[in-house]
Amino acid sequence: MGRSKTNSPMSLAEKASLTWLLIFTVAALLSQILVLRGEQVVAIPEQAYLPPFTTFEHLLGTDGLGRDVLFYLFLSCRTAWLLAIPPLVLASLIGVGLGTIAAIAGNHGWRIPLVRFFALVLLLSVYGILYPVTHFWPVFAESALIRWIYYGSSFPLLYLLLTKEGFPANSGNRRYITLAVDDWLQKIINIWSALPKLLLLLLLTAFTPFSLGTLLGWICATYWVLPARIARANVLLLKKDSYYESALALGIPFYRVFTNYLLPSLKGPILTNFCFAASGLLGVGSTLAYLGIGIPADVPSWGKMLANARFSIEAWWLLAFPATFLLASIFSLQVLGNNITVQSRHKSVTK
Amino acid sequence: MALRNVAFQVLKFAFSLWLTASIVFMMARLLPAGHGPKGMNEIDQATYGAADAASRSSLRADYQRRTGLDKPLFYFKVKLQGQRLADQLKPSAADQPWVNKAVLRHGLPEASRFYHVWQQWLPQAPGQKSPLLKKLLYWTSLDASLDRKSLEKEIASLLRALPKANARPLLNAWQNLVAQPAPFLYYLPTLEWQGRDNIYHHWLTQLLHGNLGTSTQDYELVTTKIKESAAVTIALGTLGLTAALLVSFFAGLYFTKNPVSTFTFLLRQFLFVLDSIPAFLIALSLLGVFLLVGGSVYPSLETDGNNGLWASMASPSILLGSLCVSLLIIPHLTLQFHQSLVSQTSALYQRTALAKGLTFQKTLLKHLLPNALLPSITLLSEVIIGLMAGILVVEITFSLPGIGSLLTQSILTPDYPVLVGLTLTLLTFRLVVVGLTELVYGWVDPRMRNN
Repeated sequence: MGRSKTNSPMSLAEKASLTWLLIFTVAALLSQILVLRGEQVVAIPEQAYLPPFTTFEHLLGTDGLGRDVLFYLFLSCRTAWLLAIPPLVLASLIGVGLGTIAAIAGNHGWRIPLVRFFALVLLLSVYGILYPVTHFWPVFAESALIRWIYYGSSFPLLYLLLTKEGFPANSGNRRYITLAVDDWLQKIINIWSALPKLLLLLLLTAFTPFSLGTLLGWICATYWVLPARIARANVLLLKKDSYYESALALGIPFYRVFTNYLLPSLKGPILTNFCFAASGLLGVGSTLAYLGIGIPADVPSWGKMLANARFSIEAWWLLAFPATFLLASIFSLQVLGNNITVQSRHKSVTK
Repeated sequence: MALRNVAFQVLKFAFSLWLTASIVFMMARLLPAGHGPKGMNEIDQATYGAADAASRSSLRADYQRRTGLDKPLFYFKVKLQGQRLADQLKPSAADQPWVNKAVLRHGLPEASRFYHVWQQWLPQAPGQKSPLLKKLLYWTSLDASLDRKSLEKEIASLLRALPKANARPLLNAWQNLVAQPAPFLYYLPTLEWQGRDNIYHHWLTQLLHGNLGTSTQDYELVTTKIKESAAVTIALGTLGLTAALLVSFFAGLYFTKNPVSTFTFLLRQFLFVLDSIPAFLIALSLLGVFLLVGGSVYPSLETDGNNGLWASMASPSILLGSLCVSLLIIPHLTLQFHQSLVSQTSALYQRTALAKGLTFQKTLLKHLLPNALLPSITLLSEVIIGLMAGILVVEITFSLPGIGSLLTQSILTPDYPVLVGLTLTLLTFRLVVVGLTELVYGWVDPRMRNN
């Protein structure tokens, strides 16, 4: 494949964006190392509110507690990076998985013989009823053997129920039940996207104590929706193509079909969504820090500095520099996202 | 729209409302620290001094009785058969834990016999009760059978060491008790009807009467607090929304009329940039610029409280906040409206109209606009729902006492009744907006009426 027209040399904006994102990631990595060694921003109250570009040791000035602004912003890169990239990667994986399953199975793809369905339900209820007996009855409570039998017997039974075909003689008048996976996923997506993401995140963080890890988890739980929608829409389009049908007819196993046939077309929209969602997430993460919610008190963040800047507007450097860093990261991600959109649209099969 | 369709829609709406309320109820149960009085779960229990565990637990029990939290949670409860049998025994409050465990572990007949002997023995030897009770309560918490057996032997030796001959039946009953386990039927789950006097029922009936509870911070009614904040938020939202609608309408029309002018290009680029800036940065910059040019956020007019709505709306904070709100939604509205107008310009009826000799201006107003307004209804409902998050940020920045500030404070304090009430309000608001959109869409577009 020769170079297509869109593989033109990168414009200045794209080069600047990539450079900034590289600096951002390196800064996050370095500050993670610093945090692991226990370094913190030192507060020297006598040097509070020093204007920038006056002394060499506080190049960007100091804030209300006398903390060096440049070092604080450097450490905040780690917070911003941790709250944007890892949860989005996880959320994209989960979303793509769920969306693809729902699109492939559709509303009629998952048919289970009625007898087998009832047998599964019965199995689950028997296991549920026997759970207290095997775990709490004094005679069984200590016995590891009983637990092994309880959990272990589920595997062969599930295997028998889910894979073994029934008697072929019955296949004529066997009743089936179809599980509408696609409809369920759409309903779940509708419920989950009921509130704006900021409000949903606010409410979710009220359940757990504030920490970076739990916030990461809640962000992941909020942002899986859009990748799922995109994956579902794209796979539905791709299913209609003849090359997909021929792949199935040739008997290619599904994981190969996914990686070689579906994934190349999914990569573009998902990456684009990743970039735009990351830029939005940087904003939302900073908004949460600005509101004082979700991030523990000792973790530095751009939003926190901006929140404190509200009370001392004359110290313009407390407003300008975090805003510059934040806007630079957001715009770089958006330029990158635009670039990926253009490239993927050119290469895409489903134009 | 047939009556049956309308009735069906109303029923669906009521069902989703009930489902929302129940989910919010479950959320309220899952919130940490909702079961004790304020401050009890915090690490430094300075509010309660150096109180010991017994008085703290009696305080908590009293609080739960007062607020009705000691009632059963729901109409049904999944209970083990053995637990059900243990409830028939009805021991006293101090003895209840170990009697329940005795029934569950060793069976009802032996446990009830031991309990009767215990109750007969107690009046005769009041002094020896407490070490025995302590050991029994410790016995309840032990789940590992080895530890339990050693503790049972200790209790037996303690009983043997008691002087009176009346302790002999107690010892025999204890040894009979620990000798044999309960049958496994005790560990099968059953469904038990808890009665109508449960927390969920009371919460739901209170909700239907419009009572959302009282705040744990200042003991005001939640509904009062929400109403007061809603006034500010609604003022902010309506001002900002109307301004934004006007600006985006005319801007969209202008963009469509002059698609190639530089002004259009520059303004569109500016709107794209404005769309990507986070909301709180826009609010902060606006506040900063306003303060730096010498404005003041204190109202300059003398309000004597009787000027009503107009004077309260004229305060600088609210005007500035509405300007900020409009800035937040103008980009998205304008760009989407312009997009839908542009997509209509390539339609066939537009070409026919131009070929007939109508000017672009006339076709814009008579043909393009009505067709482009239709998807704008859905756009508007999306924007109104997304407005909730934007108004929150604006209220925090300008320190306006609206619903956003109330929500943030109730998360930070934490104030769970207000939080639950606000969640319910926001979800209901969203349901209402979506329902209204569907109705308006169905009314405006004749093609939708048959569905």
